[in-house]
Amino acid sequence: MVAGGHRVVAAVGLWIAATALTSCPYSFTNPVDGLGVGQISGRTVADPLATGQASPVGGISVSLKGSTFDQVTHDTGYFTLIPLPAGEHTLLFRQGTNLSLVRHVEVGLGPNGQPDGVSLGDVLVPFAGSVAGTTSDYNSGVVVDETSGLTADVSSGRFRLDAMSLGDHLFKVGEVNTSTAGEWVGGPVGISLGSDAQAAVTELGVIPVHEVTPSTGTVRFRAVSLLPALAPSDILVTVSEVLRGPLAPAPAPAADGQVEVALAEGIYLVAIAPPSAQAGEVSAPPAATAVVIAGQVADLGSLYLVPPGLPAAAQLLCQVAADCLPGGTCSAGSCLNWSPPAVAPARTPLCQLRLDYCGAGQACTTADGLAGQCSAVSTGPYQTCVPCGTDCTADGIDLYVGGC
Amino acid sequence: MGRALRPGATPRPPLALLHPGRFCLPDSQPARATVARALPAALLALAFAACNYSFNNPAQSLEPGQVSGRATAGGAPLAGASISLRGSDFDQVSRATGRFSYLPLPAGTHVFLLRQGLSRALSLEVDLGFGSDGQPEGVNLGDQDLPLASTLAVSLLAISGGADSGVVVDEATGMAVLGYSSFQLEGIPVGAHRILAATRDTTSGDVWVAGPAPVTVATSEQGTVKTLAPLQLRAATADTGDIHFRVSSLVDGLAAADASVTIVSATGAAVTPVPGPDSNGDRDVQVAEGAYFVEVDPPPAYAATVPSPARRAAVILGGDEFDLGTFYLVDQGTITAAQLVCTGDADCAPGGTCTEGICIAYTPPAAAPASLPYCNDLPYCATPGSACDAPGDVTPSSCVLDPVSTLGVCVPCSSACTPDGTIVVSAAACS
Repeated sequence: MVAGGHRVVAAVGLWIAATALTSCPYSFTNPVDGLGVGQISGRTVADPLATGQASPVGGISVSLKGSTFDQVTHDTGYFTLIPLPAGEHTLLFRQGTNLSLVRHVEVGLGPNGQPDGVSLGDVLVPFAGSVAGTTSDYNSGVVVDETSGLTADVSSGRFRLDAMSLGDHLFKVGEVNTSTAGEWVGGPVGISLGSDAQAAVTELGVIPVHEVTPSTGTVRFRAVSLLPALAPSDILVTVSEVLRGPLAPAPAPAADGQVEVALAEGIYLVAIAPPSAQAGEVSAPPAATAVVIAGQVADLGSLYLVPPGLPAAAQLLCQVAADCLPGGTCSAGSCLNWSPPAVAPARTPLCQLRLDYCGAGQACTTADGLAGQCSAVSTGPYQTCVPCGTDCTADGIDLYVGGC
Repeated sequence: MGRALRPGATPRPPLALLHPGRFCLPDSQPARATVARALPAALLALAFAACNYSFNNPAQSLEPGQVSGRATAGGAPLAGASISLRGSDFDQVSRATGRFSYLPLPAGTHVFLLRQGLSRALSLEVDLGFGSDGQPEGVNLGDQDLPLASTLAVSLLAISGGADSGVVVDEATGMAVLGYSSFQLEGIPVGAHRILAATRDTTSGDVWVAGPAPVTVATSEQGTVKTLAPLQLRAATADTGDIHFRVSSLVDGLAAADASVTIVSATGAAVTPVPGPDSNGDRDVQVAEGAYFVEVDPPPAYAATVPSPARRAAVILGGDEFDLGTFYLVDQGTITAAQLVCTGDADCAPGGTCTEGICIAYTPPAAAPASLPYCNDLPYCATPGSACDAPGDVTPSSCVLDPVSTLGVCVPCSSACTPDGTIVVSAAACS
């Protein structure tokens, strides 16, 4: 029991504390308070010089996987994507080919039925690693990392994926011999890249491949529209097998955009598009590659149709003047007189640097026999032939478009 | 890392480690509690007293600034292992007992490289503090087990131009190798490493840089070849970074500040002036991006007795600091004397005896310093005995015969390499 004198002392202490608190210019800003509906924002931090000290880093590419919604972090590291619907979204972060991160974000529904905003706070983008492997034959084709959606060529049974984030990955391989119409698939191979894998090549060893069979696996994805007037169920889906062409009938999304289709083993390209009435109002993502293996699910995540002006508008969002440096100002939450640095989107596959003998800008044939356009990407005296219709980046900064 | 008693301090008997006050209770506690708690202590004391206990503190016999330990492999003493104080010519070889000893080192952080041939390697960072008498403490490192050494395979990727021949440096060990496009660093110990590279176009003089690649060689990766993701070269800019280093003199009468420091860029330009040390003895030299070679020499009056430590390479990136650690000036007498320090006759085997802490009639086994690059990692050349072009280096080089591979290797003049950890292949001082 506290004696009477002690009670007085305690009361005086409380009074002093209360007075001190009310006299302090105390301000608490909850970062989530300022978020819009379905907004994901955060600040990228990194340690690009490997000094052991991470700090805010700008110029990092941020891509919403399965979309053309690409951003570059501001000098302060700040980035925003808005508005995203409820559900799981995957963000890809990359700087050059050194730093890389895959981050899954769950946007929930608030009590008002609207998607919540999500503040990711500081997002540490660590050093990346590479993953290499061989297949059990010497064919060519593609290797897919289902976690990031990134792909790389398999050339004569050998592949390497650079700029891989640390963490879990799931790889599948598909190979094609166009002259014999033969097709092989292999995997899945799951690995987790730990900190020992950063800046190093992790060898997967030999992935056994087998000739495709009629047995079926599943392709699963969610078709998402960021255009309010376009319902997910109205999104057009095309599924093409690399040798057999488009499937008919094409699968249709459910009301929530979910698509799940059973397919025979093979390599498929999955594309979404708006109905013709809204053709100019949204941008479709590049076709996603799915390797279907019997009894396995190829989960492509979400594929988004994005109004073309949306990424540019989100890119200009700012919180403070420093978000608009150099040169710009932050006015009413948007940068004025500021241009984001030009870097290749984080979803862009890395150019397969080969010794293709071609002249920059001219038509060419890739080492795998595909028609392409000779890019300015070179290793030494040789140029690289970029297959038609594909984009790639050699250094994570410059973007090479196989326009053809 | 072992922490030692100050030299001359009396080692505490084991029971003294149990602070007497720990068994006392405040006066306000009931007396029966005091008795109850004191009883186990008394029993413990009796148990200890009954034992024929001998406590020999290995740090007790250390001199000020002495660092000693025992190299082991799989727990067994490792004889003939090379031990080098990084940044110096202070090299020695572990005795038959695995024992090694360095004396006298100043207070501060020191890095020791331990290596056995091509197979085992260890890097040790040792902090020497000041004792209460103001002298550097001695440190007994105890048993230091050398894990299997790894190899780092490094390739450089030049996109849209850029020479791909030059130098690759591991900042952690100080190892630097010259070569073309693909490099390997052998004898890499388990732990964290920071790899950087720089190349130079010999025609245009343009310089490219790459990295850093923070690489961790895990214990599970010892003895393996670890392939790094290709390091992408980019054109060096005028952005500046710092070369950080310190010069320390272990020679009586020779002040570290009097050492001659030369810094040359990969394009051959001398960095002038080289700033003097700050009050801590540290030197920070701000330079543009690129590769640099730093050389420390004693003043001419000491040239005959104090060997110059091997020159070291640094790759500078804008906004970065490359830490070369410490360059030591040590006279040959100190190096030889430390090699003869012993604690028993077994340290002087075969053939020698330990008298008053010094091996008599003992010759240390031959071993290449642990700081030497491996000849295998250097570029090959066609004609031993003639001059050759070491890529990325402006220092003249000489093609010398590697007696193990029987191939010519291009070694910068006045430098050396080892094919097997034992033999030293030296290039003459080219004119």
